[in-house]
Amino acid sequence: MVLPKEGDDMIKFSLRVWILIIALALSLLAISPSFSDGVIIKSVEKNSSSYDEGLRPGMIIKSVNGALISNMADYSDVLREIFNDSFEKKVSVNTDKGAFIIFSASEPNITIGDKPKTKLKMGLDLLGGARALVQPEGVLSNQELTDLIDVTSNRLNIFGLSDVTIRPVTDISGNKYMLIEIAGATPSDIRDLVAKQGKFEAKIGNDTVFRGGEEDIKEVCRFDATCSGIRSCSPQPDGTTVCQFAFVVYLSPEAAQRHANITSKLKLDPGQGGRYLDKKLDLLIDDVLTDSLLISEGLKGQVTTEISVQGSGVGANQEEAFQSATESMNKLQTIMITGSLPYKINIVKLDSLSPNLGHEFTKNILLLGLMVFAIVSLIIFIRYRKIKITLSVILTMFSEAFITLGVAALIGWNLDAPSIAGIIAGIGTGVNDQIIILAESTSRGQRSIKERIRSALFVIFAAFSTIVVAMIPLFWTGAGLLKGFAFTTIVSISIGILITRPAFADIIKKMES
Amino acid sequence: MDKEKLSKLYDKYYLLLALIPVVLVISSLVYLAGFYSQNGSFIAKDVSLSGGTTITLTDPSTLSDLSDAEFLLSSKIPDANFRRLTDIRTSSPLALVLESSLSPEELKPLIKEALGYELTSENSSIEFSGPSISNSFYSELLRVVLLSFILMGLVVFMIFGTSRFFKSLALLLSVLAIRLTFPLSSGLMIFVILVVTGSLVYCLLKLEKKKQNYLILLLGIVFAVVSIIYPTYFLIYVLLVFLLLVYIFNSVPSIAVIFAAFSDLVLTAAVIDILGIRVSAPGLVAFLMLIGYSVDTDILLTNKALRGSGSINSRIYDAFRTGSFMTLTALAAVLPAFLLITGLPDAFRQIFLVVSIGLVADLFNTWLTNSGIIKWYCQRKGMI
Repeated sequence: MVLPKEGDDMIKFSLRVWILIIALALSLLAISPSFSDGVIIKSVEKNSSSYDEGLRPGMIIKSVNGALISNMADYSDVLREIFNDSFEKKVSVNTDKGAFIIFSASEPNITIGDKPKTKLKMGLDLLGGARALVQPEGVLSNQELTDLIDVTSNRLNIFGLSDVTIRPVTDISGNKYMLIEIAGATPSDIRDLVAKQGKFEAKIGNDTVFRGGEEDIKEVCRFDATCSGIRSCSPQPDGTTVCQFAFVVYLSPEAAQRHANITSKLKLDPGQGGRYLDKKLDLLIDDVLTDSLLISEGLKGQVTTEISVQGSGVGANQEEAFQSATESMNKLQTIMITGSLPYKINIVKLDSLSPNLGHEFTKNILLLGLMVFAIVSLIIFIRYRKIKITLSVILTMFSEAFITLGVAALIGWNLDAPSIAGIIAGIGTGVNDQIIILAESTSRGQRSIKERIRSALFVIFAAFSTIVVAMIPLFWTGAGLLKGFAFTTIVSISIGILITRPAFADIIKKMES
Repeated sequence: MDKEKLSKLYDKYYLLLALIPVVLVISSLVYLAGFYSQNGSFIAKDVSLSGGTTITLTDPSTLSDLSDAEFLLSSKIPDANFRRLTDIRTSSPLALVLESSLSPEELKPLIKEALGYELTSENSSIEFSGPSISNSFYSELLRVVLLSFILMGLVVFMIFGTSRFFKSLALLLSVLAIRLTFPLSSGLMIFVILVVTGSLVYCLLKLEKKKQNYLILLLGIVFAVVSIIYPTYFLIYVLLVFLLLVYIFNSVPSIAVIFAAFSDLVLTAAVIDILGIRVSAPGLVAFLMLIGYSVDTDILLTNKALRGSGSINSRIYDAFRTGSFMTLTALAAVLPAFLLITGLPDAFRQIFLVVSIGLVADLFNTWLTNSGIIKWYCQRKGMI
């Protein structure tokens, strides 16, 4: 802490104010607000033409085929217009990192979002998204937990979710968890994707032909209409619609040999006109039968590395059935590629937060902040009746909030609701401190202004210490979900103590002398 | 009434005034004990601390007639609790919040039956906490509140305590609370051992040659060794008593500040229970904030009373003018905004509610009890 010393001159005085000004400028740089338009690429599907051409997450799309893109609605309108039939198209995408030409018959496999106006990151509760706290069954070592996180992360990426963060957390009793946070829109069945162990097995009778994962499956066809996609949709007597999907998987030679050995022992099924074998290929996920495929007689005893996997989705109308079949196919492909999770897991906490509600919350929090600001300024003016003092209190309140946001932007802190409450609490402490300085500086008595301010700074420093020690234990608690409050409170009161308060004390000293 | 008369009246009645919050605290403690024996916890826990689901419905059809929606939902979900969020500018409903101990999988079909639509990420937010994690959150947070309180007490004693021996002893003991609260963190254990060793050396350097001090230090060392090797949580209560005795016999001003903070917590918890508010995890976090935030006026008062100039009454009055203005500004800033804007995340509502109630309690605890004790102390020490 910087205490005013005897013999401070004007140069020293301005030094503290200069530090404040520099801190404000650096914060502005860290937050870097921008008012230009565009949409940001959040993820690009690997092995897609977009990826091969060089599109990467983080790029800002400015225009597509010459049409300017200023928001997500523009983007989807333009793409819908381009891909109105199933012929291959040339798409030229102009980004901040250069132009890319993509040839494709369907919309590029990228997810996009509105370009953020600042570098500030909002928390899930304000942005919308899903958060799951997952507990593995049994006791895991740190290495085993890391493995689990790797497999889960791989699975979510292959499923096509962008903006996913997964980290290990431990509670006081030593229980280990995995915290998964997915920003933005999330699929409705996130629970399945995260919590299912995803043990995939293809069995004939009691014999396993192949399992999910690299060992048995060399490749799974995705995003290639010739070997993967929705094949047919048909209305059912009960009014629903069923869509069938099919995709090809390429087996390893060992798995193909196993297939040959097992099928060679099967007989022809007389019921089907002798076209199929008497046992089916059963597909099981987590030991639950999800589908049974007929095996044509031509495959009997054949070493085949290419197997077509089929399945279906049901919906109230064709659109819903198509959607459901696509999601089922994606899930099945995902677990076939990644294999099963190494451990059984339970979801102990699952939040899916609506982006719309988060948007309303953000608006209301901003409004609350403005009201608090206005009321405090008014009270200070009524009490001291000096425009200069009021202005400097407003200035320091603003500086503290702004520099705290700057720090948050700099280290990429996610600003959730508790974090913002912490900033407001920090500003509250800041105002209290300024009231103490003002009270001391205007108090009567023999002591000099420097002594009085020194006494004020002592109280301020003592109060600062109590808040810090009271909040610090939060960092080790509640799976880290509550530490935002502690973090922003401590950051903003530290900025208060180190930067704004010394500057404020100098300004007041100058006013008083 | 002029200042002199007021000062005389205060001289006459200050101990009586100091008793008012004490009586309130004792009644609150009795109330909380009753509440505990009925509910098994000092506060009513919401689903984030007891297990269950919170669903925030934002579909316009639900919001067009909230009472109707609540009626339909409560007929299907017997244990449902409701809260409404409204938009400040249009005063139109923003969302209906439903809390239930059931899981989302059980609730979704019931809600569809009642309201006739499926829940999606567009029209709702769903937050689910399993019973085991919620209970572990709750017990963790209670332990953290106690740890924060012990650390706050240490800082206060460091500021206003006089004996260097007892200050380093208090540091030695308080840091053990970290070990007892987080027994599994090896990083924190190393930190604790370092601080304990350092403060032990300092204790020995500043040891006054009195029989009882040797005994106290010996007790402290034994306690430290036991806590480091066998960090059983029960020991923290022994530690609490040990620290309180050290503070009571060494620094009346410190114990007055610590008592004020304790009273703030107790009164706030009692008021929250009486208002029937169910506390969520952020609400408990707000109690931590209260511990740190409410003692600043007590520190201001004590500093002014012990180190200021003028008569004791004028010193207390000076501090009162500044301190109560601080508290009232905070309340005046937050309360109107808070009451007007209901469409805020639960974390916001809980934090501001708990801190606001705590600040009101702090007005009484600081300016009646703490000031009374400090005046009595200054008079006894002849610091008039």
